[in-house]
Amino acid sequence: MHQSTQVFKNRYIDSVSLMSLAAKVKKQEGIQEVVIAMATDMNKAIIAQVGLSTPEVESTSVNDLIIGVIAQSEERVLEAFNHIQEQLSGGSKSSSSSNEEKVYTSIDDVIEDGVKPTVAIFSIPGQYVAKEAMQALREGMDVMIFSDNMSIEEEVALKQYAFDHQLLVMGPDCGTAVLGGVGLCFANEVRRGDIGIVAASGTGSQEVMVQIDRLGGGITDAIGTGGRDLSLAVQGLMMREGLRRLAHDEATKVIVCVSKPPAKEVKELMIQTLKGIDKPSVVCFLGNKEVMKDEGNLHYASSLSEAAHKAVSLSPSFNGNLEPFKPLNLEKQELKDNRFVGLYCGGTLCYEALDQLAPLGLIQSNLHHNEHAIHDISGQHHTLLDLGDDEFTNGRPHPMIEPTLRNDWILKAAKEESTRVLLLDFVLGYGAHPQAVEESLETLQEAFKLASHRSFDVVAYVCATDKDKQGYQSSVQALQTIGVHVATSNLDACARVANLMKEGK
Amino acid sequence: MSQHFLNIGTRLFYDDLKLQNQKVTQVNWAPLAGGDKALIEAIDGLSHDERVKAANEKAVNIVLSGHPYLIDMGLAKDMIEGYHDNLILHAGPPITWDRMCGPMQGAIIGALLFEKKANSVEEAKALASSGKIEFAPAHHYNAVGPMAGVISASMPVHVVLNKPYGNKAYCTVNEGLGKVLRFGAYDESVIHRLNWIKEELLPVMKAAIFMYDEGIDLKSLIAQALQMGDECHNRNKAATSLFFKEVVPSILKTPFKHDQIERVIRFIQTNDHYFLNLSMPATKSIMEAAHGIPYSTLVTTMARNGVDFGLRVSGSGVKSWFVAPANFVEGLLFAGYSDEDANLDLGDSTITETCGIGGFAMGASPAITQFVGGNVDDAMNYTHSMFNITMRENTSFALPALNFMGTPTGIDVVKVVKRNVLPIINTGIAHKEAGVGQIGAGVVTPPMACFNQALLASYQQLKEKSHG
Repeated sequence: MHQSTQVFKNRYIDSVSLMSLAAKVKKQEGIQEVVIAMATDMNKAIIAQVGLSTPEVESTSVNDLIIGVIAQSEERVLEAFNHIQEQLSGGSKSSSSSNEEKVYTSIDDVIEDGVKPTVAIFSIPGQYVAKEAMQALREGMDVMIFSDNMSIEEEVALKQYAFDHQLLVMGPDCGTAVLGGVGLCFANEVRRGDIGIVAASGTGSQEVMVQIDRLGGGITDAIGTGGRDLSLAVQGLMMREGLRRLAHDEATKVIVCVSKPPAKEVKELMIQTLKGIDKPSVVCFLGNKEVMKDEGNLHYASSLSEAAHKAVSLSPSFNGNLEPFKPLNLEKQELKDNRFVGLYCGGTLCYEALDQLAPLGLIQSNLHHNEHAIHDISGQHHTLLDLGDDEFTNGRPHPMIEPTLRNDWILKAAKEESTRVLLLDFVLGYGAHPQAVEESLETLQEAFKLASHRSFDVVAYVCATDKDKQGYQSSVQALQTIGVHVATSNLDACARVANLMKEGK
Repeated sequence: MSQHFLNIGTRLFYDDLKLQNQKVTQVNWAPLAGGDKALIEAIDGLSHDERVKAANEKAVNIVLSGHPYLIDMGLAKDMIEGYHDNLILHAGPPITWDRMCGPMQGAIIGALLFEKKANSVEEAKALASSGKIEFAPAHHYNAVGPMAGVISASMPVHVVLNKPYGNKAYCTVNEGLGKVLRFGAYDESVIHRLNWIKEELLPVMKAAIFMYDEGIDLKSLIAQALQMGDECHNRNKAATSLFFKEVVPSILKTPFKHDQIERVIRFIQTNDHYFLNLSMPATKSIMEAAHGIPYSTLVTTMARNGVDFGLRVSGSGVKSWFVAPANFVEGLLFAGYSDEDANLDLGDSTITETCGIGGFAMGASPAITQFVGGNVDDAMNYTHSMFNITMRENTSFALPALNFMGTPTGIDVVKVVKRNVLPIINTGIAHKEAGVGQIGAGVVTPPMACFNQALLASYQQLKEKSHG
């Protein structure tokens, strides 16, 4: 093996771009390891771990870029370096060309230049966000924070300020929002309508908006809050601000509220807030074990599909035909030597599957925080992995941005003799990979080959509308052509898994 | 209300907002000041302080309205206030004899020989290290000198007056290229030339300059030269020609012998860098007027002594230097020389960049890129990028190639650290051994450490004054 490490002083590039590029280069033939990273302590540790550290690397600081490559031959190393530098310089060239609009290096400069943005979106390292986000708030901007790794104290401080000034802090770790019909970060292109969404989860919000669109409904805004908003510490500050906005928004006639079950007193606070709004609302506390009865304007849903269905049925502008909603209600069953393996990109979709498929028996998952928490797919139990979780994305892009990261898992699952059904989600839309489905087709064909001697099915759900940039119909067709069962919702995907499992081997 | 998105971070989200035909502004964010907490606090504190803003506004206006004239020439000891016989001035921040680089020691040896304080090189060295000679930065006496920048008592200097503010600046006469004092040469030819400048050139030029009621307008010459391909630091061909065109008729009117006059005219005509020793005191006089304004973070001096790089800031004291090791100059070397031969960054000529010309006006001087390396686009980009760290555009110095944009003027310490962009300096490269001369030219930046120190000191002063 040959290797080389180079340091580029004072060359800051955002980590999402670097991680995507590293993932792409690593796929090339003859390349064993690629690191393209800013010289943070964490990244330096990773570089040392893979054996690419040098004395120069040790003396770097956070604004220095480190590129390291291990490959089969000297030529491969050189090629990789040339390719990486070409890609990186391409980016900076396009940003400095005079035809394009001005690119800034700080919010201060934007303000100084008299530019007055209304919404700020942050995807910078979490420890730096609080200060910058506060500046954006002071300038009167709504804020969306895609970054994670922000302390709870910082989150509370930002949200309290925002709440007091009727501004939004969506996040941290908020992946999805639609404001005024514009999708931010990961969002689907959805019909405009009269349903407003506030969600503490990204793909939960995406599934609800996609299902609303499929039923013929439409949305006004989808406001994200970040996963910790309904904790005791944060007290649903942004859920409340989001609800306030939707309550005042004339175009919004129905409100959908999506979250994992909140802390008890925060749940009460939410319910009281919703009861105080004179618009019908649908609440989906995903995985809530307690049975909640509809009261007055307040309706409950136990799945994302049901939330969408109820919202559309309440929508005054909807005048189509709506078939009655069919919940999944699986029967308890014991399945021997037969299991399903779900490999999810969407965290909330994974969580919903975990909830819905529970009757099929013990499911091990990285979303568990108990003895069934696992970080791999080996074993004999049903398995659901959220591959977008921190433990899998540390130093790598999210699988929605770089779907190839899931391909190795797909092959691994297919090789396991006990895997009867493989369950996958493909989340399309803004922010997602332009060929999210295509990137996995070859791998899926290989998976079918690996399991050709036994009963093996693949169920996939494509979370997208027919207006999304990747092309919904073509994505579905591509999957169906190679023999994948394509579900119409995440709930339907769970139903299909259950049916296939019942069929047995 | 229409939405306008500000995307801070990955370009991915910017692209998809564009795909939706949205108004998006991109911030290519990087950690401020390498994440250093003290620097970040200082940046925040200084950026939002009204006193700092007002002081900088005042300081930069002084720079923009500065108007230097060449009004006189004479010996350093007669012209420069506070001069004494045993004083030798040098380029850059303060430095002791034992730490000086080769070219500077050579120039001092030459100066002592020229002053007849020593009769041999050995005597000169012994005297220089004896402590009997006082060494001081030229800047402490409102003077500047290229390369070693050595000025001694009997050397002729130009006297430049910054008319609106009444302050003066001084600089020697440029000796030309090759074996010259400023590169540390001290052989007979060098001393002979210095004597000739003093005996023959000085009286002629002094008489010629006296024929102008107001002196010779240097700001106007610089402005014209910038439109003729000079940046007035590393390239002074046009400015020298303009000066020549201006001054020769006056020289001819002086009552000196024909052959003496001819030698003076030839000397100017054959030295393309003659005007450097005028653009330097001109910019020095402009910057000096803006020095000493409390709270101001304007850089009023950047200078190198070949070992250290030094900065002075308007709001700091007269003799407060922020110093760090000088950088190696990246550039093109003349045939036969290698990197090992090169001295570190040297000279007071960075006063031109401090005032917004030189490297800051590279866009005016595509021709210089052949000399320092790089291409014409680089030259344009250098000028554009300097707006990141300066306070204003100097419309008196309009650059045709950049659509008559003015030069970026008034370096702000805060902006340099905040934007992590260093001033671009366009400079000559000296051989590290005394007397070899210039071996190349290139582009260099100051060390960031100087700016970090200056920033922290400015903030410290602000805090102290705020608490009474």
